[in-house]
Amino acid sequence: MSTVTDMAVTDDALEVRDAARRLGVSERTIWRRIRAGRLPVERAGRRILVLVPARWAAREVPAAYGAAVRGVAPAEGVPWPFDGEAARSSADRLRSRRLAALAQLDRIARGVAPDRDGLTVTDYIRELRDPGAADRP
Amino acid sequence: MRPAPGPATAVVDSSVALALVLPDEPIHGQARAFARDAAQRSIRLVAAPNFGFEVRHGLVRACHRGRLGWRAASAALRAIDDLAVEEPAIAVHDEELLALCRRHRLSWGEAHHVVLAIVLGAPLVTADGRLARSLHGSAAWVEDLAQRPEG
Repeated sequence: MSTVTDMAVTDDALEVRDAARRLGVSERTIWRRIRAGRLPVERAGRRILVLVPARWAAREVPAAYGAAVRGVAPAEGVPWPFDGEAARSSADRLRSRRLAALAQLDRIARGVAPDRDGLTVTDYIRELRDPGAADRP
Repeated sequence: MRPAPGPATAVVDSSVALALVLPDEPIHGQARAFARDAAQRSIRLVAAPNFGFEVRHGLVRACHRGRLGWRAASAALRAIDDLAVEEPAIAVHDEELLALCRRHRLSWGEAHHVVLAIVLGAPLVTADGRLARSLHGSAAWVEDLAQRPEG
């Protein structure tokens, strides 16, 4: 497994099969990259282990989209000390914050005009999320 | 020993957050009822990594189409942030996403929301009826907001 410290990220030594899964490519591609010198390897007896830079694994987690740092910790922080009182207090703060946000959204919604062509938010998102929908059989 | 149950969790699609801002949306009332429920019952809200990007895209589209002012969009973003939707760091392999795209004819973006719901065993709450229909018979638990009473 990768080990992440404050500053350093080490490589993972993976079997070819696991490296393929990690990188989302076929084993054949992994062998091709090894032969081309694009993936470092080390030998452990007769086994060949692929050294996959741990930063490449980051594409598997939201960090690749710039969201992980904000999302890893609960938005309201972890109740500490972790006892019933702290947990209740944390839940109360979250409830108040969300209800205030909903009240604010209600105020914003009062000034909103309808879409001139009757498009909905689903249409807006779909044009970003699925621009080629019409191409699919 | 069985693990203690964690707080109830729901995966929120970006369409739900946008519907909260735009009152003429067909599912505005349902989105509001869901968000109020989540606040009052301390439901943990989580979203896929593309949630923030899609919400911002939707708000900008609404501004360009004259539905919403730019200052209102900025205020809406802050309010949506205050709904405390987490983006959990969960490893998702390309192969899982590709399989969903292939089996259910999903787009790459849709697959990210769906895979999170499957991994967490939580409902995917969406305003997108087409997405909900395309997941019939899948491992994903989907809550189509249009099927929910406005409360």
